[in-house]
Amino acid sequence: MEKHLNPVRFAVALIIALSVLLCASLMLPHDRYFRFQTYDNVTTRKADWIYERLHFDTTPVDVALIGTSRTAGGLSAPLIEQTYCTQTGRRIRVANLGLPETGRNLHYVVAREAARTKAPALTVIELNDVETRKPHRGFIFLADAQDVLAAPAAINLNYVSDLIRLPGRQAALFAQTTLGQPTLRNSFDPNAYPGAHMDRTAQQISIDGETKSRDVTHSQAKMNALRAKRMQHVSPTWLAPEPLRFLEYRFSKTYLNRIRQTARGGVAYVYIPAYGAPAPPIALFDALGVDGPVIDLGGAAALDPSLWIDATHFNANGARAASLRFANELARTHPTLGEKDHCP
Amino acid sequence: MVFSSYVFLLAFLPAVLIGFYALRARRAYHASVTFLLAASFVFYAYWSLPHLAVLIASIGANYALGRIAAGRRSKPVRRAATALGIAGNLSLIFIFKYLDFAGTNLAAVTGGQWTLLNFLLPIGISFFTFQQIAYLVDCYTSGKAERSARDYALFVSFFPQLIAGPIVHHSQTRPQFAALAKAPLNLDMLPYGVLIFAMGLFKKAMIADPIARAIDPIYAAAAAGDPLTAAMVWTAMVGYTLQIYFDFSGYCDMAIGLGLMLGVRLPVNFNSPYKAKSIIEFWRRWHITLSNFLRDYVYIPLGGNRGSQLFRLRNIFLTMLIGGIWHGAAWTFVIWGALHAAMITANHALRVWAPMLDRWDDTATTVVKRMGLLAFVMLAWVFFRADSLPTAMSIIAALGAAGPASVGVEPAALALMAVAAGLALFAPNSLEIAGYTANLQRRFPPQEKGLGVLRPTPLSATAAAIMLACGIFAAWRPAVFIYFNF
Repeated sequence: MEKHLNPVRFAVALIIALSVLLCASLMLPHDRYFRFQTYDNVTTRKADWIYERLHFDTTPVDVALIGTSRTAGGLSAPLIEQTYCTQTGRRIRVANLGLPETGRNLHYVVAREAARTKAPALTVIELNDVETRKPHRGFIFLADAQDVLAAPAAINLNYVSDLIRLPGRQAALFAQTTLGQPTLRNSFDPNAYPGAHMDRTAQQISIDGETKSRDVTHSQAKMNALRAKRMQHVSPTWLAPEPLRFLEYRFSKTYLNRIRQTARGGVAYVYIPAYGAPAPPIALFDALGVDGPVIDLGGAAALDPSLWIDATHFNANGARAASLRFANELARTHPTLGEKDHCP
Repeated sequence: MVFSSYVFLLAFLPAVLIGFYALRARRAYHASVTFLLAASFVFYAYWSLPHLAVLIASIGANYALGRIAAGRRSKPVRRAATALGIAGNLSLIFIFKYLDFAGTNLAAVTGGQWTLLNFLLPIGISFFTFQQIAYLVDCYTSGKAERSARDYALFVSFFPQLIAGPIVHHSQTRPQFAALAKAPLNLDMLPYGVLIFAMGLFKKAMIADPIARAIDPIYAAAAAGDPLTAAMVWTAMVGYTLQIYFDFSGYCDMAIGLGLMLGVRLPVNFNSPYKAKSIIEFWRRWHITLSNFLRDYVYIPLGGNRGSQLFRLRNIFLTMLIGGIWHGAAWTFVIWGALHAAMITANHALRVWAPMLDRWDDTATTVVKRMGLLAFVMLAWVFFRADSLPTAMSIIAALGAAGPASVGVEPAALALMAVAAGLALFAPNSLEIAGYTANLQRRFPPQEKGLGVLRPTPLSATAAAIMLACGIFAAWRPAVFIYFNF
């Protein structure tokens, strides 16, 4: 007969066994393609396309655009390719890898994925008029287990919650990989693949397939009202007292450093403004450790209400103007990207 | 805070256990009971702070009225206090739960208009109001009330049973809270609590929720008016029958397990109901404390079995109908309650007028009775699950529909349903395995041989760890308990 444990020994045995199981779950294998497909906690689906573009599409990536929905909806990769080629006579391949919502940890995941698979000659990182202090809520869905474990624990509001959700994610992905999941694609389906570009500058497609045109303009009064409403929720650049300011954006700074370390080619930045914020916040960029050229898409465009769909996103016209400006600036600062070829 | 969520499993519960046992280790027994009350309020406030105010106000009012109802004042005053308390509790539940339903239907009948108030339902209101109604009636009849406001508040708000029962009788918890405040508790209950909790969590996370994910699309298709095949609706019907079984059974196990971890034995609320041979027996096994409440505080006040047989059957029907409506303010619950009321009334009538049929229980008859009962229960669950009467009717109508044999769920889900059915129909339940008893006159953990096979051993600790780990894994895609909606 098996020996009975007293309550304390039972509790100790239980805690040890549970810890072993939870730690072991982190090593459960799974199909990373499934992981990128299951990220549905967003308004628009794109993570699966990013995975397909980087892993299955043989088209090279010369320029990887890393950022938020401002990048996704504000920069047209085909237009940038075309304009750049017209300017330089060189054919480049641009991949807009912007994903909605903010948080530099997810930018790192995407940028590293691009670096490992396509080694872009240039990784362009989005900068804004404000910088979030929070991690991206999609990080736990897309990051490798090692990324979650190696995330900075201090000044990381999601560290604990990401860590405790990780065993569940690993187990769920393991089960999906092993048992199959009818809503997920087991292998790359070229017929379901939208192509080398997922251009969301003319229209946005919600996760349930609803299409909305971005060819929308608002009056100056409406835009001012939208900006005023937004600014009610924007905190001052500095919340921490002077001696502690080095901690305030440390989370973002850590991941921007990691992106720079991972990038195999060069790194550049693009300032995508909000409506009414024409000038790049240089002090904030310094705090983030921004050390390379910044392509500035602000200025007059940030004050022109005809270019905005809401307080933070260009409309179709704004995106066109921003893409042209970006491509021209890119041609000026990085004229040797890609290779000599016919323009698209 | 759902029992199967990360915040409960990895933050709230460990914090409560550590705090509780740390206080008890310092012999701060009173403080440990107060700590439980504070933890219960935090648990409730996690959903809604304003609703915590509703709960506290309800507790305060009922405590005061209970003192009057049991006090030395004249009988009319005591009766008035009891009546006021019952009316107040029923008004509270009516306003939050039934006012919109009643108003909408009244407007439809009279041709008037009703503007929906859309009050957010305080979670667990159906449970804590019923518990307090029972308390007030008991105060009036017994002349005894709880003296300690803290112990009364804990009796109502004790977090393991606050949200979805069991509906606890004051006489069940009073001596236990009093003992907790005075003396060391029986630590031997702790491992049993963990084991029963782990089994409940496993049932919820690894059986009920995966089945729900498999069959929900079929119910959604029915609600959307999409065409359904017989194979699909049979799968959905069987699936929900199993889902609600393991969801509620899992919850009840978790409640009892949590109680044991904190030194409190809660009443058994679920006892393998699909093993019942009659609908009467079914209701002695499903939501046992609700059945007892309805018997003691609805059926008997209605007249019970005093009077003619027809009068008694009327009381049974009305009691079960009220039980159905208690579940929710919708015609689907009224129909569900009416179906069960009709069936249980017929069963009682059979006992009176054709007792031979009722007693006929050779093996073949028992199998037929069980199958017949299951068929009825499954059919009735359609109304319980459907979001509207038209949806329920479309599912019922499709039971014989022609069409492809595709069941609309994955083979793995079908296999899970087969295993779940085997467990529900043939396996001993977790409380039997643990030898659990809520009877305070009997010792728990059991010392006698033959009472339960569960013992705190290295193997059972490992099994509990595996089940808890499965629950933690499943919290990645959390789901609430069905009975949390009531």
